Amino acid sequence: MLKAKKVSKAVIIGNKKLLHPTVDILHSIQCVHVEDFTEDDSFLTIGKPGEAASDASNKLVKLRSIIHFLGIKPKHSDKLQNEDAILNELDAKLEKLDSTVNDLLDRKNVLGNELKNIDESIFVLEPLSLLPLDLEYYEGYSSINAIIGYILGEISEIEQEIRSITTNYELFSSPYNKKNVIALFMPVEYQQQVTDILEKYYFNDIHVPELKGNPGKIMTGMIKRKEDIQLELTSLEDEIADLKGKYMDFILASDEILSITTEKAEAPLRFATSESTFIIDCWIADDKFHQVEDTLETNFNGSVMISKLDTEKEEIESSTIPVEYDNPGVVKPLETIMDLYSRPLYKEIDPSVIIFFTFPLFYGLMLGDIGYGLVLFTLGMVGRAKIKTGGLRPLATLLVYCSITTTIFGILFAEIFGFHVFGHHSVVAVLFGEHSALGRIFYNFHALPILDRLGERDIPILLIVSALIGVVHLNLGFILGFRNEAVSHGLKTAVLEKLSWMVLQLGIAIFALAALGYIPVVGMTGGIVISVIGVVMLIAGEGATAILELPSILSNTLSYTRLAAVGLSSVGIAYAINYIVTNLLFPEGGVFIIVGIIVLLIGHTVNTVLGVVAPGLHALRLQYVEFFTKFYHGGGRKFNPFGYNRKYTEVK
Amino acid sequence: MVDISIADATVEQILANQKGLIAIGAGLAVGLSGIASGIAEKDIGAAAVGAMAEREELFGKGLILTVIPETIVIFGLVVAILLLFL
Repeated sequence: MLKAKKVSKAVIIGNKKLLHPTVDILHSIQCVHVEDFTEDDSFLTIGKPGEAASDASNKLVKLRSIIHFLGIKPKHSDKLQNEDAILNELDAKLEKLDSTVNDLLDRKNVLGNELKNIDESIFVLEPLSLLPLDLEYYEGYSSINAIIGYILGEISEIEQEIRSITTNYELFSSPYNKKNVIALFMPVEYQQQVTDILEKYYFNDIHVPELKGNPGKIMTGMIKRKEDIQLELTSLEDEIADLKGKYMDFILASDEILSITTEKAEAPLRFATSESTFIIDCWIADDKFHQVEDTLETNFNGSVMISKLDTEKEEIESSTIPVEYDNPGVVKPLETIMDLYSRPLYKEIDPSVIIFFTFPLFYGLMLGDIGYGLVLFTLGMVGRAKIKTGGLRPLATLLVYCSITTTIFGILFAEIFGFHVFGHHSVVAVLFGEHSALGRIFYNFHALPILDRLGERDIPILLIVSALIGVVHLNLGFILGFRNEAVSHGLKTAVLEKLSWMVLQLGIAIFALAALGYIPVVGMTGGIVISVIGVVMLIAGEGATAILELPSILSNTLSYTRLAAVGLSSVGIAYAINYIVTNLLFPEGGVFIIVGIIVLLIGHTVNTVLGVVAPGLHALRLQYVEFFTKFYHGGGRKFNPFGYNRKYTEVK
Repeated sequence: MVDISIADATVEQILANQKGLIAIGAGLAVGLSGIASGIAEKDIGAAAVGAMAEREELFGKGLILTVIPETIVIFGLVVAILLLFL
């Protein structure tokens, strides 16, 4: 907690003959973060990949293209398959699958091409079918020119113009799609003149297909063939779906096995090798070191050595050390929030645990409503049940945490969907009557609400409480910053850069208390003196530019008033919906009751969605912008153990 | 429009008048600061989406940068609340 898991730099050295067995073992224990070796001027070179690499990656390429064709997506699998069983049938099955898929792909392409050709032909034949000519009449003349195409404009006008050139012609035409389709036959010698006329009418040429017979009949035949093709394509899709259903588990499992094989075989590319030895530069978590040492010892009897470098003494740059979080299980979902910003550096504080408390606290304070809390709780639990793996699962868990605090604050505010649920204005008491048994139970909770967000009286208190939460949160940030600075740059820097802010705040607080009359007036002078000391310390620490930063202490604190403000806007919307429905729509009676219920449903659904987004973003922002800037650097590398998280297979 | 000169107005009318002015002030505080937030956020949002198209893992940082000007409207809302309730 609060710190990254302790890791040490280690070197594994052994005989080159034992390289692949070592890789197998390191891969299976999955607790070594391998550093890639880059070749330098020394006699060491990068290792050569194992023989299995090219074969496995060929198969992997084949498999991935099958996965792409069948549209297989990773899924959650409860039953693990035996690796040996898969390996035994891998080659035969893959070969068969490959030929089946190729066959299907060919058939699909052939049908697709035919469909495309038919569509193109129909596009041409449809206008031609309106003219009373068979297709063979359009071609094969030596002294006659056949002009077929679309034109815009009146046929009679065009015919008149043609007649002014010659009367020796034959014109067929028919209106089609706001244009006219024409077939004009005339002696070759008039071609140029006719083309000029037609151009005026935006003539557009039709390329007549090389077919014989009546275009209408041909088209009918083609349409029938098109329907057949579509049926065939549907059955082909069914076949593909069948194939996918039948081989899905096998494909996912063999993809995993082949990925592992390739990863292992290509691992030597990341190691340094000499003529007869290999050297692996790596990081190992301190609590795992003995396990790795023992495993290597029992397997190789001392032929492969591991030795640890002392990280404390070696003065290793903090940013080069890989970071693995070290948090209890309940805090894990918050690590996603940390990674969204940036992973902490090895030597700085990992604030996941703090966010675990403050994020849901801020969220709950903002939303604070029993009704919305229970809705979000249900959503979160459904999300957790549906999503087993992946990046969304932590967010669903986080929603559950936040819904719990939302409900708790909802009880304190005595709100349910923007109605009062306890006390004098209890919605239950109004609905069932103040003297009914149920009404009295809720009516009698006089102590609630602790803070009434629906009335005017408590709102200033709520604003002050949020600003005070801000002061606490900010100073927590300064304390953490003090610690980080003390570790990385020494105590003096820490005092000047972080403690100075706290001194300044103390000064302002004493001044304010004295000005408001809570402490003797002399406090005002004292407050000013302390503030000045704080500012001087700050300037000594950060330079004169720090003066520009001074107002940020005010704006940061005021920024926390959003805890009250965002909540009030959400309450405001809920209150407005309820007011419209209960005071304006329901009293009208009849159909307005149904309208009222619809308004209620839509309104509160919209407000729930806003209730997830707005408090979530603002709670996040208070962490990232106000809190983190006081102490957090980030930019740590992820501790990425060499190995593979098996999802579909197991080794027996 | 009813013409009310201050001299003829009853105390209730003056109070109602003041309440109306306060409400207008509160509305202006939220409305104008909302527009200001919008203007500030539109550029950041567009740049953030552009950055995300290049590198998807920038989503977190983009989101945070985009909501930074949201503070303006929050302050507006706080001012409005203070006007109405204090």
